[in-house]
Amino acid sequence: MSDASRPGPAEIAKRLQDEFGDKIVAVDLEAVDPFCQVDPMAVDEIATFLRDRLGFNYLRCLSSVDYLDKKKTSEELGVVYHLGAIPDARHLFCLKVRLPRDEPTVKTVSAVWPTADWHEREAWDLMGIVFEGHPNLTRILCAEDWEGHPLRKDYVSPDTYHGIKNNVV
Amino acid sequence: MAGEANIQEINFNTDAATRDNVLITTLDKVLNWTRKSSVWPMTFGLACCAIEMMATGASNYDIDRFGSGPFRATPRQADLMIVAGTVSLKMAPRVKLLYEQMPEPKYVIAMGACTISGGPYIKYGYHVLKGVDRLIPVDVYIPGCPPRPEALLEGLFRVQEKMKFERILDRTREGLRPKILVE
Repeated sequence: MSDASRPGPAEIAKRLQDEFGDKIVAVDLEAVDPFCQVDPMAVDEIATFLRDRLGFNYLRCLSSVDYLDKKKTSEELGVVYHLGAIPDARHLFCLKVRLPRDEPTVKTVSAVWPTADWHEREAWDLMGIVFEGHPNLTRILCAEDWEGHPLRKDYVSPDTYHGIKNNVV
Repeated sequence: MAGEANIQEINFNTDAATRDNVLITTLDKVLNWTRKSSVWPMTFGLACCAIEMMATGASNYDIDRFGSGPFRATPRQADLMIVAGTVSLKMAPRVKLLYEQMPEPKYVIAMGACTISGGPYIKYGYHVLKGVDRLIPVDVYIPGCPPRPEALLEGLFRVQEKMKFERILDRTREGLRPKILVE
């Protein structure tokens, strides 16, 4: 795709808003990576639309974020999807979702981009985000019987694991 | 007995045939010499320290010169466990299992900062074992991040030094080895 024919972030956001209406919660085109914040329960259909109609055939990265800060102004968790296209390396966009801390559930995109499978397992393992509809949402890095999700900012390390002392002397 | 009589008759100073052909030593010395000259480590690397361990095994540093070349693919044939790299808590029960599968006498080298104390992960490493000596008894600690191959060779010499002064009758080798810490 040439520079002229490629849709820019503004056009992508507009097409998403035309198609999905109020499922697009917020749009920020001034950010380093222009993004749309979307409804967690609609992220799979928006992803399918972006892949099939706007040419985003590649999920570059799926990250989870803990927005907890020291003043407790925000306790939300989040997931960020960086989208790209092959072979058009400049065709980029970003999706974000915000999730409540006590029930962080979002639709899986592993059926849209198979690479999301392990990314979502990692986000579940380390941040405790539940991906609804994932075929095998089990821990990928920590031990199978590990308790808690270690990359959350309010996580406290256990003192022992299977009788092994884990405290810092 | 006839044998006793023969021994008494031998004069080591004057009998040339005996003087040039008989060597007197102790069983302990012979056994320890054979043991220290063929320390077989286990093929077992956990992180970046294992790269240095491989370099030690390769031709530039050539651990074979000291009889320690054959890295065994099973703990049943190994004398020495070189714990080379960060031990995660997921890996810890497996490390202990491998240690228990090694036949006695067995020796452990803790190679590198992570293995000694958790290294850079000691404070925020939620999933890192903070020293492999919390799990299995360690004979020699090699500091470094990672230690150079020369340091690993020096660690091997320390293990060999330890082997040199063991007694075969001291089967439990008490006083030489700490006990397993985690049941």
